[in-house]
Amino acid sequence: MSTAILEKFLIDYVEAIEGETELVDEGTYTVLYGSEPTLKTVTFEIEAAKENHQIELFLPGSIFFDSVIRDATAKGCTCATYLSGFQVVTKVIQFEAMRNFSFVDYRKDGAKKIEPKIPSFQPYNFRIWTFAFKVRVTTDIIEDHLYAVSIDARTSKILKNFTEYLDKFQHLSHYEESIPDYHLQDFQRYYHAAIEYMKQKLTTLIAGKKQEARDLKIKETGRIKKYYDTLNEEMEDALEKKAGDREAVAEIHAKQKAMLLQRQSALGDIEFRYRMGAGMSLVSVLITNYPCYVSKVSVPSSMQTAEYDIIWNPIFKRFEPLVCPTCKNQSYTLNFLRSGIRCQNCFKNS
Amino acid sequence: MSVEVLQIADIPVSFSSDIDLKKLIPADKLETYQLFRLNLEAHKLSLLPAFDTLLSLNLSRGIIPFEHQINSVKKLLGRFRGRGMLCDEVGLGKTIEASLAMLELITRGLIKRVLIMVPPSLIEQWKEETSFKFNLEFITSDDKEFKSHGSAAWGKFDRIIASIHTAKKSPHSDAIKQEDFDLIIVDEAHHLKNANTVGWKFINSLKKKYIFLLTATPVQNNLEDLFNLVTLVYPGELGTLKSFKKNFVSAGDRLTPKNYEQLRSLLGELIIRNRRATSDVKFTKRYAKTIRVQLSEQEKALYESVSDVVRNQYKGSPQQVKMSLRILQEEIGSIPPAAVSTLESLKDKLPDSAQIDGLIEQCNLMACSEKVEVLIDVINKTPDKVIVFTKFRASHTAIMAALEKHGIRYSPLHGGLTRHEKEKSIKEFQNTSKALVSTDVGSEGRNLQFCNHIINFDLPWNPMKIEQRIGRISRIGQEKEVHVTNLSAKDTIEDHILYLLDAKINMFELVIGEIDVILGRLDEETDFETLIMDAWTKSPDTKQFESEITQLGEDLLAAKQKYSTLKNTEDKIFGDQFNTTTAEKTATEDAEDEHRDS
Repeated sequence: MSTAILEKFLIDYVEAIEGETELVDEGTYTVLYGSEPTLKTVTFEIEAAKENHQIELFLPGSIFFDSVIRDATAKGCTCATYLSGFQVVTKVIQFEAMRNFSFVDYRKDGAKKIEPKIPSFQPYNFRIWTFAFKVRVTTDIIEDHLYAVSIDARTSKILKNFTEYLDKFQHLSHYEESIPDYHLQDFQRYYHAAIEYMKQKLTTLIAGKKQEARDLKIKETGRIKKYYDTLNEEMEDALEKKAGDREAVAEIHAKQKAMLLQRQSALGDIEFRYRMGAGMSLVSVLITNYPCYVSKVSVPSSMQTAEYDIIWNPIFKRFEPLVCPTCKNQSYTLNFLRSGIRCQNCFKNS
Repeated sequence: MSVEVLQIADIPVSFSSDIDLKKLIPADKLETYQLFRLNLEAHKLSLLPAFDTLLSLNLSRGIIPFEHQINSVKKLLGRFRGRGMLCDEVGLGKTIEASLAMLELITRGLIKRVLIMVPPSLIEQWKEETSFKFNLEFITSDDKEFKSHGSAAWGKFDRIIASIHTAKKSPHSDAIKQEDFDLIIVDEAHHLKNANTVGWKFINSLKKKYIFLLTATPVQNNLEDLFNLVTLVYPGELGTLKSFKKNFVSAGDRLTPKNYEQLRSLLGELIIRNRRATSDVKFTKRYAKTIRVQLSEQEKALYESVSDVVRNQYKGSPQQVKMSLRILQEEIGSIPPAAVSTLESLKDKLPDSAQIDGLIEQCNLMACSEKVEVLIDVINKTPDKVIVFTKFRASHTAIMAALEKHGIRYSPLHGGLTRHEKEKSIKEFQNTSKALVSTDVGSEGRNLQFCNHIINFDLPWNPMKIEQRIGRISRIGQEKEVHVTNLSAKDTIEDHILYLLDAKINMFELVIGEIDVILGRLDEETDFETLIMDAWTKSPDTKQFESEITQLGEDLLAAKQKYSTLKNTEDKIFGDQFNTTTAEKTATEDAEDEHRDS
């Protein structure tokens, strides 16, 4: 794969800042960028840079690479996107909705399937918030992790791997036609959900690292103690053997003293080396706006008429499940009973 | 900027953010998705993930590391925390492993200053590998610029490849001890087997955050060797020398360990040893053929005249003149025109300049050597494409002229070409030419495994350089048997070197890397080419030189046999327990989840 990742990153960067790149040789580009346009020739090949000192290297640790990373991480911290390009035929989803949801009325004379009228679907703006967190755990080594946590602003639930979907869609800076916002939850709720998710992740991560550091510390400490204890024993033996030789005894005593200091310092080093630290920072936020199609449905039963929003999600290509009023879990089946409305699970358990 | 502290698993975790979340709605003034993606990618590129994700794999060039090499790097950096011994059997790529691990530490910003110490014969090889395969530029202690700074050079440069023989000597050793190198790599570390030597004491005294010791033969004469090497990496890991001997060395047999299991368990924490038998590295067979060329009377007489000058002037000459005389001897062993420029440079430095003038004239007149004729014949009789290697540009020119004359299509490759011209030449050779005429410098960093036949028009005196030539085609991706044809003029030094390396120890069929181990056992302090030159210059006549060579041959054979015996012993000590052909399961499910999340 070679330096392909870096090559793609550089091209994306220059494109994002509205510059231009041109491949002039294998692994070598001319780059035009900046408000007062700067022209640079950059390469991923050390041989090319050696041949021509005007060519700048673009490799980790190089000046240009570091400056691009600095600039790219300073940009794009607070972003919004409007997804577009969904092929939705409202008539089709109107038809599909009936097959996906099931409403059953339990009357005295038995169960009867309710077939509510599904009004046409209208687009509403929905949001998903993605918070990118960078975590650094430090023991004797440094380890970084990057987490992109996406939360559905309607339900405050985590959407795993949502960022993987994003490249499949067309991104706009606003909708071509305005559509109303759907009723969404308070920002604090889903931000809190993201933080709680991160706390869980960190708990697992830190516990693992802590254990690893503890094991290494015990091993290292054991090794050092054993080593110096054996050395000390050997010196004690020597002392016994040289008991009559005052000069030799004094020399061994001096060595013993120095050795004890070394032991103390080595143990102190280990204690310091495996001290654990951790930090987390919120590095970027993305608000993804996308149209969902909503049909406001009335479901009449022998007991009551309930109102539901049936939502077609074009990102995941599915209808969003309804919430069971009894257990609050999600379900596509609701049973209307004298005792209340229950999903299939609640119904079986009742 | 907001900062708060979260208490997680009893560890205070600082949580900071530059983002004012309250200002995010309405979203009109926010940046685009493209910039969000870029921001995320930039963070990923500057991330320091756990060592089970290697960043260096994306940055190395032209190599696809083997699984055992990748696992070795993960183990060395992850479990061993960057202090360990790479003791793979020869031919499995310890240099690749060490360089990948080094690149990994550099990429993560964990190290800046690196000192690689190697035997003198391997300096150029390391420089080439680190530059071409890993995009890492090093200065060598042989470099003029380095030397111009005296011992201050050790503090001036961040990445140095040095001869360990130079480094351990004063005033260099004192200067190096003052420096803080982040990573120390010692290749052929078995030379540090003895704790009473200057070399061992020197390495032990260095300040180092990370250290990699590389050797295929950690046990040289007895188990104490192993103890001394381990102590350089982790003092105390094997206890004190006295306790080590008591616990692990059989009485009366210093090569046989006792308490195998306990010893293996201790060594398992710092030694990586992959074996060819269990690795996925497979090479095709190699065949070598030597053609001894009978020089014309005139050319032979010229060879002897030049050799006499070398012999007579070598002893007592200043070092620089000695160096030139050695080069002259190598050049005349190639073809006479190759010697002209050195003879010219020596004219003012040697007593009899008229004699040198005469030799220059004769060399110029003898452009068409017998060897060139034989080369043409060999190329014509070979159905495959061939790479003709020569050490010298003058020989390169003469070979090209001869090929031209005989209508043989060829492509040139030498250090004077630009990167582009080199690539073009190689492509042309691959597609249309019959021969690639290359100098050693020209072929640096190039993989030429689409060809399976090389001809050594002349022979480097340094066997490592011969291996490098073979290594251009005998490498991963080579599907055919490899053929090496050596040309040597009868009764020249090269002729004798070939006798030693080919007839005596069968070097051309050894695994790449083994010759180095064998030569290391022959003489630790003096390189092979110096041994040859010394034998040549101290012998008054050919008979005496032959006797010296015979003795050297016996020593070489003994070294090869000793190597073979020790290999068996090492197999007994290490077995297959230290190989990394199967990855350790270091990644937790949670880590996998994280990867997916991000």
